[in-house]
Amino acid sequence: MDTTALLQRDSIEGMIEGFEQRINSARQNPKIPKSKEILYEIMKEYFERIYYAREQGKKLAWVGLLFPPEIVLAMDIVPFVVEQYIIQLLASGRGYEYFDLGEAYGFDKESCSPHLATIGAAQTGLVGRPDFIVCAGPQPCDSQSAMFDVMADMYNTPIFYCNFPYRFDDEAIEHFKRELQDMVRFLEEQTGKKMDLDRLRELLRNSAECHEYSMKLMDLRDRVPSPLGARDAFSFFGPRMASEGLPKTTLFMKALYEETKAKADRSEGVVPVEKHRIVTNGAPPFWYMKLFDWMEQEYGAVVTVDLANSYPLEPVMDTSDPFLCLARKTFCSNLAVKTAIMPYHWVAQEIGKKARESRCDSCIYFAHFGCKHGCGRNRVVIEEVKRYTGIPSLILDMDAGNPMIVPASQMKARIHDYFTMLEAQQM
Amino acid sequence: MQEEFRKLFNNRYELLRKRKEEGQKIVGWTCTYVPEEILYAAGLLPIRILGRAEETPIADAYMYSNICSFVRNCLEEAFRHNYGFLDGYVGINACDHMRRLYDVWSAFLPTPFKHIIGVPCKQSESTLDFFTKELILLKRTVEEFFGTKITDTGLKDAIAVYNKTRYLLRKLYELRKQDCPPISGAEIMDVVLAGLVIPKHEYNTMLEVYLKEIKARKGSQNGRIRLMITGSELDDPEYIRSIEELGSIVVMDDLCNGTRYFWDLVAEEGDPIEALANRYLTRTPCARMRPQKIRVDHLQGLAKEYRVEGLIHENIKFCGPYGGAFPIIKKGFSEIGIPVLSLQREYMSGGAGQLRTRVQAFFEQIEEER
Repeated sequence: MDTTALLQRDSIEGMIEGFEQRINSARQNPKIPKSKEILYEIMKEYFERIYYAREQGKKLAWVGLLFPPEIVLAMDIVPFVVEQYIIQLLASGRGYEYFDLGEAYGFDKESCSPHLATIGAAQTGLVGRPDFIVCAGPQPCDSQSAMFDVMADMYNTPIFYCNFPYRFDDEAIEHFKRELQDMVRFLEEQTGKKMDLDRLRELLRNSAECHEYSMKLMDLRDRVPSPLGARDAFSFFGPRMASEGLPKTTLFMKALYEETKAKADRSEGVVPVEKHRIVTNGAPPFWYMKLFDWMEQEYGAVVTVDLANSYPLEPVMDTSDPFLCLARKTFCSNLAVKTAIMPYHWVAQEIGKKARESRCDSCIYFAHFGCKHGCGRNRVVIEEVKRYTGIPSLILDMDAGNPMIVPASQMKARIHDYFTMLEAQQM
Repeated sequence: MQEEFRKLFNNRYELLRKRKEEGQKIVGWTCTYVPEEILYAAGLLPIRILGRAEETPIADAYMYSNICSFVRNCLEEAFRHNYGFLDGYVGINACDHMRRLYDVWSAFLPTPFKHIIGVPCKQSESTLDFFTKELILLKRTVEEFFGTKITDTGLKDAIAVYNKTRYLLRKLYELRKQDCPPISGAEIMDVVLAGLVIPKHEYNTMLEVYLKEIKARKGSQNGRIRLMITGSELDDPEYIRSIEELGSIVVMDDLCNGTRYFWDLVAEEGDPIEALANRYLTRTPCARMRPQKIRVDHLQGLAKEYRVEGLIHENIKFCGPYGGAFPIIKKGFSEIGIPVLSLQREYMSGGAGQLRTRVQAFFEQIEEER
């Protein structure tokens, strides 16, 4: 396998250029909303920070998805969410070679495909070399924990695992606060720098404001018709993942909220005629997010409840104790992290309630083949959705990163059958 | 005696139902990170939940096909009412599959008492402190549900009984250091499995008798390749036997129905809950503990002590912790010159022909290097 060609094709430089082009395109096209332009700027700047880290004498940390970036940002460390980078490559139709490379390294071929590909990419040098790794364990999943362990071993690099508890109460929050403090000690040892608590508080205040807009945005999805499509709803993930706390991320979220609010106030939905409102669970097909556009166009079907809003989120609290604030925020305000730290049959009840509140009439469960914790809960979730709403669910066999497992045509065929059945039932 | 151990395990449902009829309350557990001593001190009989079914059609309707076959098999047994005698079920967030087993069991099965313990992913002052709190929570929950009081004295007595089990099993394992071990890997597994489903004080009596028997036995395994086996949950002595029949003897293991279960003792001084937390968190680690390096160091030590010539790394298909650990284990054993064979399997072992071919080739490689 020609790794030089892979490095050239999939380079971070190329990623930066790609976002540069999108920014220019957005600036020239008044139809592209302002939030998109800001989003592209955030992502370009994120990749630039990674690309220039060494040159600027900054430490580069590989961090996990769903991991709060504020601590590393406060210490002027550059966070790099490697698996997101690989997902982005896979989403653009590139990077499938890395699956084979990951398997050849000995990593379990049935692990989550983005993780397998990340291991494969790491061997080629595509993602560079970290100064250290910080991540969580044992949740959100075995595959991620194992991936980082393998990469730390591959590069002989220091690694800090932040322990996620498996309950949510004051004791668990205190424990996680202590974990974050231990993480800071690790980072201080690695960098020779002390944490700037004022800087951390400042980032958290930005995060609080960003999150406030995010919560209001998610509330808008419950409007009939829903003004926000699934892909746009998911768009906040990239900026918040490694740039949360930076002013521009708040700007993006504010812009997206205001644009969506304007639509909602005009009763303008994602589709001209909204026929179906979908609740989803499980990781979507990142390599084919157009699937959501297709459902919208073909069936007037809009996702109103998904991983971003299926579980009640809380505002970011008082930042005076930044570690306590961040501990709480990680679980209560970051995506669906809270659902990873408790038995899912409790979470499933909240999903059922939310589906009812949002007036969903359909449910699609994305059974991402490499995701054991995702697939293992599908029955529990669909039973609760049925209990609260009476909706039958579609468990859609697929893979979030690898289109070779289940192609788009097969997914579409099953979705078509599902909506046909649903519409026949509703007549 | 060997046959008695086997019968105890193979007839476990019948024997446990009998104990239940006699008034014994029974609590099942699915992972060796559950501190059984707390349950034992409450007057409960802790037993390991395992599978047995040839197929899992009911469980398959509740769990997706990428959930490991061990978990699906345990669930199948539960849905078939083979665990209807349980008064409780204690789970662990050991891995994705175990967490979901707990979710499905809690949602769909009527076991009266259910509790899940959050075991941290690493050893540190912070996680030890939190894990101690987890055990205090378990203790309180058990007391409240079963209307009992778990005293420090009760806990210390339980620790003493379980430590005796651990001590006796270690004594048995020490015999495997011999050039010609008097006990095979398959036989040892029969012995360990029996202990998972009967009260430990009864088991200890059996072990003492067995040890005397085995010490007097002369081994007939000279010249065979000395193997170590590590990996996912394995409770099938036939699997080990089929490997040993090809010209080896398993002299050491790193299995949850093996050394991971009993290798480390609980301190008998000081606060018993703290002692339990310390032992269970810092014991011989499962692959779900991070970073893997601690485990590699431990396994290298065992391999040297037991003069292991080859390592079999088995994992159940879809097992994240063991499937993910393999590259690190392989590298670690390559550093000490011990070859590693990776074998993927399903819980109820099929594919015997394929196993045979691969193991034979592995043994040929070891023979060449001898």
